[in-house]
Amino acid sequence: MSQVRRRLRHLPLLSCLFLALLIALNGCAARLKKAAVSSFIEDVAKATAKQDDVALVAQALPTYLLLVEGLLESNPNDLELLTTAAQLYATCASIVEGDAPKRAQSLYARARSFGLRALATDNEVGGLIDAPYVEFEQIGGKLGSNDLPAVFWAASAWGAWISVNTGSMAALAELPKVIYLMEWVLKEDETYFAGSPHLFLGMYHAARPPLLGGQPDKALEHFDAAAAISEGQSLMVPVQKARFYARQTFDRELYETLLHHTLEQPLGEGEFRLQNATAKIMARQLLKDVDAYF
Amino acid sequence: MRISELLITALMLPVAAGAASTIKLATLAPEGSNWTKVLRAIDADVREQTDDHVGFKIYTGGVQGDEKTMLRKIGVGQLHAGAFGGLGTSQIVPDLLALELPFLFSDYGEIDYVLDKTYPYYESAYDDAGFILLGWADIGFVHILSKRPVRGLYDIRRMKVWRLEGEPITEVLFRKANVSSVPLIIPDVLLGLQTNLIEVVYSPPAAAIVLQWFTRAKYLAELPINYTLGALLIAKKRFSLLPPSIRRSSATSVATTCRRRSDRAVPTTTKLLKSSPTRDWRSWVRIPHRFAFSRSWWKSRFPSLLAARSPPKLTSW
Repeated sequence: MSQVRRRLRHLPLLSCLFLALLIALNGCAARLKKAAVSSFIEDVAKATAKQDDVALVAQALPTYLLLVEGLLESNPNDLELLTTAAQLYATCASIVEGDAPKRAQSLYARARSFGLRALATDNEVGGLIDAPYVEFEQIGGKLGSNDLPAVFWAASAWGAWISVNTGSMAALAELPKVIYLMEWVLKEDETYFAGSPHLFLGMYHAARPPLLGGQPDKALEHFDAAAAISEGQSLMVPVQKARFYARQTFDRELYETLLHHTLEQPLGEGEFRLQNATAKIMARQLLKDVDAYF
Repeated sequence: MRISELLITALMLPVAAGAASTIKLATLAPEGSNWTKVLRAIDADVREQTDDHVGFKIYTGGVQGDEKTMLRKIGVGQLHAGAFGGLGTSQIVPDLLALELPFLFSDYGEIDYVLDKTYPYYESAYDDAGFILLGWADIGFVHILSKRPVRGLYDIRRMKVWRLEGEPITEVLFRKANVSSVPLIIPDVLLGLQTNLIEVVYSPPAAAIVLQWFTRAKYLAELPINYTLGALLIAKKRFSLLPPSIRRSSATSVATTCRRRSDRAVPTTTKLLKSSPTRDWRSWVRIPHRFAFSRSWWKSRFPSLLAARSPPKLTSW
């Protein structure tokens, strides 16, 4: 009995050593894994963007999402991984949104939470996320150009999440913060992700009627800027312009012209291929619904 | 009638029914809001009950213009129905403003009681104006939002107060209370708050969120000022297309769904803003309840109001 007790006395020391070793090894392995997988993720992201089979991507993405979540287990505060997770969940949600709105809602919610976690890796920024809007505006001073991808994807995911939760007042109340972040991105680099900050703000200003604060003129400027920056290669620009701007200004001719133009364009070979394939699916549906809107 | 005539009539019938089966409805409410969700639910209901012969075409987000334009379009038959906010509803039947008097109601119990009792009155008033009242839509209690705490009239007199341009009741109320106010249209209010042109605004919490005014205010006065409501109205002629059972069921669903929306808006704004406890400052505009529904009382206080708001003429029908 006493022998056992003696051994047990040594146990804490031993186990501490063992634990420390385990953590060191594990951390090392995680870093190795992350380095290897990071470049793998980048390659897959590039290949995914070049896909034109939207259904295939929609089926394949969940596997990829689990991989990133797995990596996050050992690197829970990794800015890059959190940003990637937000991007992937938001992309996945946008692909399934048309067919499965409920599923898109929960995917956007996850995208938003990863986006906010990415922002919160900086303690000062994290402390401001839930602050009243007037204090939240200090966030601009705390962000640096390194944060650009995280801010862009957090704002995109957050904004998309609000757009599928417009029945919730609490969600709508968060919109001004999203707009603040996207305007920050625009100021930092308006060409980011092929002018996506312009596309986002174009949709925002066109979504509400002028009486409720909408600004169709401003929306048009943003859509045009997005088209110029992407050199007309992103078909999402004309589709969203039709969906938001042409509908808000009640311009059926413009609506139909933009959507027909989208369907006639080639998918392109580069980074816009998947996005353009999705845009074409949306365009077909929007054309089908034309009589419901006009 | 000869057989051939009968045949022709029978052949024409579906065509005529098809042409008349779409009820064009407009609203300022944006797509995805609870208002439009209710309208879509009503549409689905009507389609199901009429085997798809009758249905709504819903124009959301003000694409058909503001409520004044919507009314004009209903007048010439380009539109047939509207889910109106306060402006359109009172434009058709000015008596509706009686329900929106300051400090008339303090809770939803009182509102439900009065709305229930006055429904037949308003139903027939809208009927006289050429509209069928399908149901009320709750917009909510108006609260004061401000940059500094508002505890009573004394505080408000020292601040720059917004007033809705062209809205006659507030203008008179502020003048009587010695409050100097700045008239602005709704789209300019947010900028007005940002630039400190105004420090005090008033609105139902749901609208303060949608219009983003809450981002520039710090305080929300606890005391509800007045109640505001909207209505789902349809031109009489088109109403005959609706199956009878739809009428009551749609009215109930409009009322309950919209109520849920504004109930949720109050806690959200309370969480976002500090509450400024208000002492009893109802004496500001003490309007005896018994006068609220008296036409002569309104006429003597607000002569311009009743003259300015005449119902739209539905001459083209």
